[in-house]
Amino acid sequence: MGIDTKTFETLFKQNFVAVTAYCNKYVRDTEEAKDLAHRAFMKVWEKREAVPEGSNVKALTYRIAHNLSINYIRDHKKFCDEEELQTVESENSDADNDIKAAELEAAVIDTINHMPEKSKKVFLMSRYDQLSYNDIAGQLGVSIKTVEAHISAALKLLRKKIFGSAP
Amino acid sequence: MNHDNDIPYISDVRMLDIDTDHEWARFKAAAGISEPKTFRLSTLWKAAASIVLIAGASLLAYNHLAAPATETHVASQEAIEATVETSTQISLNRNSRITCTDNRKNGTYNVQLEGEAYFDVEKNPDRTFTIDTKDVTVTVRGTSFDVCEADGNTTVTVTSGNVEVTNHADNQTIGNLTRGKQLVCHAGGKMEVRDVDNFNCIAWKLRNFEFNDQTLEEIMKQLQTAYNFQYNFANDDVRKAKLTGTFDQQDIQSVFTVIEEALDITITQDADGAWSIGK
Repeated sequence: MGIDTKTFETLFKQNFVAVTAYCNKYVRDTEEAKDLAHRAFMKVWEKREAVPEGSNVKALTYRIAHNLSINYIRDHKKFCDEEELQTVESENSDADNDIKAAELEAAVIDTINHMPEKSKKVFLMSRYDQLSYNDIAGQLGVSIKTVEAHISAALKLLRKKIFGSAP
Repeated sequence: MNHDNDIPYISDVRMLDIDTDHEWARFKAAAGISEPKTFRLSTLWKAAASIVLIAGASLLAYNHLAAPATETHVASQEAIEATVETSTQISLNRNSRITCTDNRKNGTYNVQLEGEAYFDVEKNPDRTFTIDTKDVTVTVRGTSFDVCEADGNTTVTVTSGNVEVTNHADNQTIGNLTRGKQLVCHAGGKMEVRDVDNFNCIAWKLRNFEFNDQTLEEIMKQLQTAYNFQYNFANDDVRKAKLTGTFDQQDIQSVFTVIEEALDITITQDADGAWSIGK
């Protein structure tokens, strides 16, 4: 019966980023999302003695994270529109797809964070700041060819890590 | 198939650059999971006095029994800062841990220290502020100071105010330690007081260095305590080269640039981040 500290630590370390990404989809605020993830894990920890043998603790954590996120949105209603809230509430909370999406996101984040510094910078400027290759080359004082090479290297790495193969 | 569009959009990947070990340390502290492993905690004491405390290379596994209002801070890879009481600030050096117990009932505030910390303690005549290492108890009399427990010795270096130290071996007390005084408590309990002419020993906190005709070998060792980097010497000539100068709150790159100019040497960073010092 129950979850021992070592098992819990592994659960926490393997899933914290993904659970945060999952909460972030609801609250759109990474600091709040981190707090919610902490609270979700805390609830699991507090219930560790009562968790039956063989239960899916990861799914339980996501379910709690989902509920906490919904509560958070409700409590901060003035900042979000009713329609959006209804959409969120009607979603199936522990649908496999949501969890898979969060885990995929965490894997992407992890891959990006392990890219060589230059490739990472160029990639983020391109994909998240939506800058053109021309603008990136100008800002970093490198040629467009160099920017292309970094993007190509970054995408290759992502394909390899996420899709399991390089084309 | 064009994979470019298959990559899911993430709101801001940079915000999700999460240090899982750090979050786990936070979680453990909040959940009260104790384990003599890698913690990350910080505490800083603010007062009419500042004190730096440095404690041993190895963390001792203290058993902290539940006490009134206890908080723990751990610094593992990097130094951290913590505020306790209202404005007491504690800078905790790497590989160090403090456990603070606020006992209002008898008007005491106690810090158990393993490793090194710099204290800036708020002035409060209604309570006694003490710091315990394995070997000594430091009582704050409105002061700033550094306490270091290392290699079996505890060293207390006072930068302002007035400190009193009691060793645990025979309860001997030495009081009235003021600016520039350094007390060393040796293994076994023997204590001696000496004058320090610079505060390089606590530069990990202050980042002020004063070198007077010292070898590069000695200098790099001291800089390492503040900046946490790896380095190696190309040859003995460089190792024995001597330098006089002061550095005030500079980043390590500019410190190295000055040393390069002064000694006509090169200091370059390898692919693995270590610094090579050579001609």
